[in-house]
Amino acid sequence: MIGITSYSTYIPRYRLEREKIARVWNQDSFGGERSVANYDEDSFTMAAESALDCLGDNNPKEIGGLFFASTTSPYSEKLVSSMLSTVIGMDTKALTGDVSGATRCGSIALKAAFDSIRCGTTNNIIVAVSDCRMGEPGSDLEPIFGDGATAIQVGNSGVVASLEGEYVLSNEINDYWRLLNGKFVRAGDNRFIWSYGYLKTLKEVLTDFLKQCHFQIKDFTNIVTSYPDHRAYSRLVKEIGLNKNLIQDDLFKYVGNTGSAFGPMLLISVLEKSTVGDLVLYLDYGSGCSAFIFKIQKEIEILKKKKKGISTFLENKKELPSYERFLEFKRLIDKDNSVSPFSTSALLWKESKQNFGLYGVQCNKCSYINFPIRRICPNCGSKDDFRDFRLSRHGEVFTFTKDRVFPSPDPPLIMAVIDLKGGGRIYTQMADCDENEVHIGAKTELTLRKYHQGGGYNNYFWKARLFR
Amino acid sequence: MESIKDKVAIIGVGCTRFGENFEMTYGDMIVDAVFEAYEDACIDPKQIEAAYLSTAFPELQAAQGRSGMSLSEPLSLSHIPITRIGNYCASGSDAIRNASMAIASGLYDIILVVGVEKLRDLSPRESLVSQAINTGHPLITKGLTAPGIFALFANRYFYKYKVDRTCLAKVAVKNHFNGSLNPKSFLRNKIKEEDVLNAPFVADPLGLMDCTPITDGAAAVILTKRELARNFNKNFVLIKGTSLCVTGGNTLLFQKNNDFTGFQSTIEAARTAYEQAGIRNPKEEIDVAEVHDCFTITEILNYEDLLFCAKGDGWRMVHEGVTGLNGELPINPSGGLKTNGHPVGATGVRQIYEIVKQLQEKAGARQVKNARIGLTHTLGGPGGVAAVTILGIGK
Repeated sequence: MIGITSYSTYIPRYRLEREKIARVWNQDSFGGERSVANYDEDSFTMAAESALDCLGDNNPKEIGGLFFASTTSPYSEKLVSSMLSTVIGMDTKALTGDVSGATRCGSIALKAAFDSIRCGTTNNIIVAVSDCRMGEPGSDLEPIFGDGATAIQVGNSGVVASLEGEYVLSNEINDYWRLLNGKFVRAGDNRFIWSYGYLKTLKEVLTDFLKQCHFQIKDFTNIVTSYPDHRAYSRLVKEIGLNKNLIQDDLFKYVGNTGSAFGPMLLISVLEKSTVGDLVLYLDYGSGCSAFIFKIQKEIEILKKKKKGISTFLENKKELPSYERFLEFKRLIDKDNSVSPFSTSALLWKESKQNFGLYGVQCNKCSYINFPIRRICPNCGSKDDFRDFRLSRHGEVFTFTKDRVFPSPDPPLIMAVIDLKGGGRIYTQMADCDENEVHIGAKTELTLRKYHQGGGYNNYFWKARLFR
Repeated sequence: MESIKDKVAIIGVGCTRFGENFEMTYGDMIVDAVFEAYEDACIDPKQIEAAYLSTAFPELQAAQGRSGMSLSEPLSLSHIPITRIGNYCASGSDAIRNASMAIASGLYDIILVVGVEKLRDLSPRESLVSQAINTGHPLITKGLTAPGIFALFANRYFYKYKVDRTCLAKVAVKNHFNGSLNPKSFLRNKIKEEDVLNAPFVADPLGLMDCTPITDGAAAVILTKRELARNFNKNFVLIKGTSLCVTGGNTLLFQKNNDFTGFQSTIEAARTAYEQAGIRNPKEEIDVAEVHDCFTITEILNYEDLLFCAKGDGWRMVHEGVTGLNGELPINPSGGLKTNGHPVGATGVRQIYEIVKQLQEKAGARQVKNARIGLTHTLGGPGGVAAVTILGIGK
């Protein structure tokens, strides 16, 4: 049996009420809110969050591969999947690959992962899907889009949702696209692209796929389908006569269309509510359609207990004070900032295990934990006599300050000294918290974030957020 | 190990006004401070045999201070050895320490020490803030600023000893009062506690008036061996002890044994200097001190680390007026860094200037009564480097 063995979702903490966008542009709002990645988040950092949570307590060395799928990879050239595998501590011999292009890239990677397991290349693969697409300010797409990530682990043991059928269809049409170096996603005429893109493709897949595998719509406990726009989805529901109970629209209403992560996110929201024996049809659109049928296995009950679930992210949110702050987070406000932080790739390469993998060292003689890594133990003086020590992401604030001198897109910058569970101490920036929430003794969790672009590349490191 | 006690004498001191010296260059400030010191020591410039230059941030002042050449140029000194010292906020104290050792070794008879820093030709955002953003490790401790370091200590101190910002405000009020009496101080206004408490936050819980302002300045000291001192200046001052302790860099903030209520560097530097000077009870034996009040919290922590009081009682000393100008142990009679600002490489030398004037009873309106033994203290980086100097009147 092959299928999904674990899953996780990450939705950034910030939300922007669609009403706030509509007011600025003097438009009507369809209500709800969209998720907004913090200024220090990107598709890689969000993917890291979900991949780490998806892995859970399992040994990363036993993961055979990792695919990263996104239309908004922070790099046009350079593997993000290899960065992710370093973050979660996978073996360097594991399979890595990035998939891009359409918002369906997550499902394309999922299909490749299933194929890889089926042919025996490996026993399990994590597919991390993440997006933070931008619609042009004032455009239709701006309030529709949201930011977020998912990770789905597939394998041949411990299956929670077995793969029962699959189907792919390409559809060549200029409906949604973004040119190389373009900041904003563009769309064709809505009436044309929905009719000949989304609706035509989905209806074709439903007909042909179900015929091929001898299923009927009524056989499914749930039908999950991604959609580019809520209006296009309403038309689909109407035209194929979808039962109201099968519609998942909370995610769209309170998070938005999270690009390539939207389909997987909808699928996970359904998996979280499913019980043994349920049959789920999953359709993901983007320059065509990928379709899968999953049957829920009894192992899902164990997984459900371990996972925080999407509802945690829907509850733990923070409204952005203004549309302007949203523009600032998206770096859409032009500023004459002549900062050029020092960075060197030779140093970062040497320290990647420490800075990405969160590894310190523990002294073999006196057990003192050193982070950052050093060669001479400051506690007992022994030289080069250490074993690797991976820091826990969980900790507690020992002391802190709200710094108003160091420039931040979201001032004040909160700096904290954090004692980590199981040993070690870190002094770092805090992320995603209000200045009045931080106090000595507050529980925290480390989160990978983007610091700056010194050296002309992205510099990532761990910040701390309050544990929620 | 031999003690340096009473081997080295200070025969001349000079100091510019500390402040926004927009009308003066790095070199102008050196000339003014040094010629005041020459005059004080009744010395001919040709008699200087060696010199030490203390500047902490040459990269913020067109590379001036990167080497001894930055001292020989403005003074037209030639053919003598000049060493540049950079050791963060302890640079000036360390330059004096090195010069003292050179005199004590017998290698030179007369040495000039100059501390100078030109910070205000750039705005704070262009200088110290841009340093915090652009330099250092690309990731580790990124976000660290000077107020941000000491604010970590303030919050932990408040938490541990159940005190609040009012004790910090009292430090600022005291130092502003002293500064108002010092003609060379940048800030000369007397302030009230509420002025400090109502000032905007810089790095909570530190507000604007808890912080040292950014200023320019230069100070100079001329040293000789004790035997020669009387030939130049009958009112000479002797070095009783001089020490430096370096504990570590920014990774101190990651060390589990750092309790964030004091600085091991100060504790160790004080222990060494007291030992050299033969001081057993600092609170009783020290008559006046200039300590590193880069932020108000630092002054309170210094009281404890310098053993002027028990751990956790630092805030009481200022609360009870012990460290006021007329208290039992007046601290920072010059106004300290709080009103003079902190031209980094100059501060340690300016502190010596102040204590020498106090011991010579030439401190004017801010004169401390019966000052025989004085102390200076600087603390730098994340608290990883500290220097203590103890001085006594030579007569």
